[in-house]
Amino acid sequence: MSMNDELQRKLAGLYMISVMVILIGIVFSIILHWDYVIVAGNYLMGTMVNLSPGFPGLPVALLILLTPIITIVGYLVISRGEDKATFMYAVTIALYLIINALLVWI
Amino acid sequence: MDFVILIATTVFAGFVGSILGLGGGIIMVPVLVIVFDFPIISAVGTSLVAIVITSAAASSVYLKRGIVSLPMAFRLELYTVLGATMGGLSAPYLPARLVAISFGVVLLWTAYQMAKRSFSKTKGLSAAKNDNRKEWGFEQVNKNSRGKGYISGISAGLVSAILGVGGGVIKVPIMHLLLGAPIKKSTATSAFMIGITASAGAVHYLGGGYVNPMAAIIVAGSVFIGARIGAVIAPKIKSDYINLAFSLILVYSAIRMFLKG
Repeated sequence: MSMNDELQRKLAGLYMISVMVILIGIVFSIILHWDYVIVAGNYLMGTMVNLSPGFPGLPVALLILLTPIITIVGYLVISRGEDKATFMYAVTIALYLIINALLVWI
Repeated sequence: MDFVILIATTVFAGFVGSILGLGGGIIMVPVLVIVFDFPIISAVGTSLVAIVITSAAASSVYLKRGIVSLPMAFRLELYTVLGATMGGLSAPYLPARLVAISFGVVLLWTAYQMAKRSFSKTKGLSAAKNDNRKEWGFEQVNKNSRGKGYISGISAGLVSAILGVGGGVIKVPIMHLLLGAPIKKSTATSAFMIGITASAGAVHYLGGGYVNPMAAIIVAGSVFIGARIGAVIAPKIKSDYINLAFSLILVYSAIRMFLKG
C-alpha cells in the first residue's frame, strides 16, 4: 500500500466518524422534535421552526458544516507535510474556511 | 405523502450526486421550491447543507478506494474559491445576462466534448480507455495544462458566484478534459471538493437564518443513504455511461443558463 493510499484510507475513516456523529445528532434532533416533524406534519415550514441557538436542529446543521474543516485539518495532521505544495494549499483552504465562518458568526 | 416525496427525491439527488461528482442541488432546489413552497434562498441554503453530507458520504467511500486525487483537489479548490470571492465582489458590476448566455455556450461545447469521448472508440479517446490508465497522477500533468486548469478554476468560481451554478458541473470537465484525469477519478475528486465549496457558502445562509435546520437534517439523512449507494455502485458503471450522463446534465444546465439570459 502506497503512502497516498494509506493517507486516503485514514481520511476516509475520519470522514466516516464525522458522518456517524452527525447522523446520531440527526436521529436525536428528530426525536426531540417529534411533534413538529411527524405528528403536526410541520417539518418543512420555515415559520414553524425556531432558529434560536437552543434549537436542537441548529447544532447538527453546524456540525455538518464543520465536516470539511475537520477533514482538511485531519489531512494536515496525517500527511505531516510530506507533499509540501499540497500541504500549503490545504493550509490556505483551511484558513479560508475558518476566517469565512468567523466573519459570519462574529 | 409529502414526506415520502421529500425522502425519495433527496435519496435520488444523493445517488446521482455521488456518481457524477455533483452536489445534487440541481435536483433538490427545484423540488423544495416547487413541491414544498420553500423560498428560493431557503431552498438553496438547505440544499447546501445537504450537499456537504453528500460529499462526506461519497468521499468516505472514494477515499477508502484511493481514487481521490488530493493534490488536484486542494489546488483546484483554492483557485475556485479565489474565483468565487472575485465573483462575489464583482457580481453587481457585471452583465449577468451576457455571462449566463456565454456560459451556456461553453457548457454546450463541454457537453459535446464529453459525449464525444463516450462514442470515440477509434482514436483512443474513449472514456473507458482513459479510465484504464490507472497510473494517472496529478504530478504527471505538465505545467501548461496545470496553468490552464488553474485559470479555468478561477473562471469556474467566478461564474459560479455570479450565476449560482454548482461547482461539480464545472470542476469535473476541467479535471477530465483539461487535466486529462480519468472520468471516475474526476467525479470522485469533485465529490470530495463540493463539500468544501458548499460549506463555505452554507455558513453564510445559516448565519443569515436562511437554512431550515429541521428540513436540512431530514434531507441530510436521506442524501446520505443515496450518496452511499451511489458511491458503492459507481465503480461498476461503465465510464462511457458516466461521461454520457454528465453530458446530459451539462445540456440541462446550459438550457437553464439560456433561460436565465
